[in-house]
Amino acid sequence: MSSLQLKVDRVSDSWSVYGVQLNSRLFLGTARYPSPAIMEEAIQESGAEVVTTSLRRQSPASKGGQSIWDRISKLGCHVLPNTAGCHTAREAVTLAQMSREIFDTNWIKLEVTGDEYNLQPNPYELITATEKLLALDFEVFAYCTDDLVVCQRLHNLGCEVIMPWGSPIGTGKGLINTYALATLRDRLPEAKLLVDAGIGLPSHAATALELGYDGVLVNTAVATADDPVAMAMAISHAVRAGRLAYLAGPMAPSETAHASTPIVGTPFWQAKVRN
Amino acid sequence: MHILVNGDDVDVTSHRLTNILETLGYQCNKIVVAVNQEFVAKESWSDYLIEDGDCLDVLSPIEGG
Repeated sequence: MSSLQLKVDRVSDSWSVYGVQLNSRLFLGTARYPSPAIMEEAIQESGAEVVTTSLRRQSPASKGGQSIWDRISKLGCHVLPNTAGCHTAREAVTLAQMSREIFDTNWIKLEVTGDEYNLQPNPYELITATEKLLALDFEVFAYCTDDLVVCQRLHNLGCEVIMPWGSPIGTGKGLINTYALATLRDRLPEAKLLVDAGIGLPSHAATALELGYDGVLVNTAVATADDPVAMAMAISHAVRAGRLAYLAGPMAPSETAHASTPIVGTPFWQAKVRN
Repeated sequence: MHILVNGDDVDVTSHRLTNILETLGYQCNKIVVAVNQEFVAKESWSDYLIEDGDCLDVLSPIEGG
């Protein structure tokens, strides 16, 4: 086995969320793919073990969403239902209860939208909903902004997994405030932190892991790529690369240049002295 | 009796939630229900009585991000 292979294997450091052991640090959304078949292949090729789902109003003719549920079920992934579209804590709690019944999981990706323009989470309703859901024995994955105080509050409430945005949902702008994200990592060392929303490229995902984030949740970047399966693989590799870089201990940046080639024995130095 | 189901006006005769869902043609194995924005667990559908003017949300799994 090559040294590279050994190092890559070292990235296979398992971790856990709410007591569930995972080997992949990539959570993948299931929306916006060109077809269900491409969605399935992208998930499988990415190695993701957690996929997100949702609930919507259905007409009787749709046969109760059985088709999509069958496709997602057979992938064998952990299902993380979301509360997308909710604007109040009350709505989010009700939708979470409905999700728990139909998906048979206590996990809930808690989304409470505060502004329609950039789909920015409402921190006040988010915290209220988190309190209520934790009291109802839900295991909350809170989607939030990178506000330190909000994230501290969520953590102090007992929310194990906190998922700040990199940038607004679906923008693909990447991590627009790495200072804030790095601060969250430093200030909340015990929280499980995932960057959720805004990741558009593999390099964005790698950066999140390099910052020490536990993982990323990606949907649009994969689903709307020209080749979603290839992009799923690319982001999966980036997550592994970022994690390996974090574990490797990156060098400290310097303000000044430092020659990497040894100075001793530099040729032609006498000529430079004479000139 | 006049109720709202997923935002649509519906006239139904039965008050029992189970009967209403069956009458409307829902397959009950993969739906969840809220009445007036409150979750109603499946185990209580057969005893749950809908009143005139109630708002039902009948949801099913979809893809999500």
